[in-house]
Amino acid sequence: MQIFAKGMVGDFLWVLFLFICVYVMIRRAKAGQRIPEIRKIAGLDAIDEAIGRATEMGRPIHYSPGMSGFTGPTFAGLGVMPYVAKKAAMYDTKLIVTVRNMYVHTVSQEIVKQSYLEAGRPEAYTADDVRFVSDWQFSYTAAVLGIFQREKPAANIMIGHWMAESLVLAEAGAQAGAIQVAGTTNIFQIHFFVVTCDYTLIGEEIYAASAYLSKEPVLTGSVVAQDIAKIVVLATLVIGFIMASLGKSKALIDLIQK
Amino acid sequence: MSAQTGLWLGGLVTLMAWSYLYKENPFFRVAEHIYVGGAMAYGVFNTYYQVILPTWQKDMVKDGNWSYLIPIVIGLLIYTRYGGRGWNWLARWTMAFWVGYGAGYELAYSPAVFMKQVTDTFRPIKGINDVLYFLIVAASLFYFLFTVKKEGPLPKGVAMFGRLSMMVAFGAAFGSITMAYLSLIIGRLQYLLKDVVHLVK
Repeated sequence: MQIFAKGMVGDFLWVLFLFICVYVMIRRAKAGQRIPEIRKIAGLDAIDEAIGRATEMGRPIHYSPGMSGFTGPTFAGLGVMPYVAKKAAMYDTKLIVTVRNMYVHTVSQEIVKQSYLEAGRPEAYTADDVRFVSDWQFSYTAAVLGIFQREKPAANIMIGHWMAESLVLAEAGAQAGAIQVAGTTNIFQIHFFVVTCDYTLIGEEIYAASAYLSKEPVLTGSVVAQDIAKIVVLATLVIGFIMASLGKSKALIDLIQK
Repeated sequence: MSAQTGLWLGGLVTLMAWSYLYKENPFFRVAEHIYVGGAMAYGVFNTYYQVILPTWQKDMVKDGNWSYLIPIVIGLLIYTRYGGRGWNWLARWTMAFWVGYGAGYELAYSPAVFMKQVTDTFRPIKGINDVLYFLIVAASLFYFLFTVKKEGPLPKGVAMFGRLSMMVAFGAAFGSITMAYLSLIIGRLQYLLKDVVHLVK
């Protein structure tokens, strides 16, 4: 009986390795053992600045976890959402969350509601401020453009998977005078954020965001585990490059793609 | 509705949408609401005729695949959110299913993509491009190590090289995609000037 589909053995072993790394690091973090700290990420420090600015100006904060369903970048966006929601609740600043995916919308509502509860201000939570706009890409975009101009958010935070609408939204946010922090893993869209936003989270930085902001040892532990995995990949790259130059990389490629 | 009326309507809505470039105004608002409402109507129509009806008529009644009832029930549980305190917790089952599915799918299929990228980097040195390719991949990956302090000239330099390489790539992508967007605008202008008002032959 064939247990693995062709070419999936290496993938399985890799995921298993990741699981072990994450498990060990989370155990270490929970036990209070020393784990490395996450380096400074300017884009994430700017989130506090953006929330503070919105509070001072008495204008809302706009937040979006991106355009896709439950994919990695969306999870990253949902991971930062409680931090922003809690701060917004604490400072009594209106938070508008716009969502394109109906499932992500339901989870976003739960997250914001829970965050307001944890901030001790459950009465400030308004379900209508977590808005499912449209599941059509440019209908969503048109509606958010309208929200930017009508409600004039002073802070615009967009972390998740973004596609062709990224430039339109970020430009509209700039026009509305919002301080903007945006991040995505989509390499075909990051550059639009780089030119239009005040701070950009490049690729993997969005995955470290929730750990960086919350400073929770358990989340930090998982970022450390990811770093270990990246170091292994880096070492594999070096070995593979040397072996390829010596004409002996086939065995390694077969092993990885097994 | 004649073809020309449809073209005029398309042109009108295009101009209403573009009026946002001046400032938010009632014309843009109408276009925005048409867009959102139309998309929603199309979504409901499409879901009913392309998903619900064929699943019920063909898959369940005709082919007897009654196991479809399981995902249907899981899906319907989401409406218990509106059922008050005694029931709304059931909606979390639907959410748990979707979040679990999303996380599982990502874990299972993401490695297949980047494993290929790793092995594609194993290139023999045939020229300066192969060396650059390797150095940029390695330096960019090094930049994304969050718990390794980039102190000292070498780590700092490698991370900076990775960052600069990415910026060069972003610049190139920005240029090419902006050109693609310009061609979209040109296409729309052609539509307005040629098809709608016949100013251009």
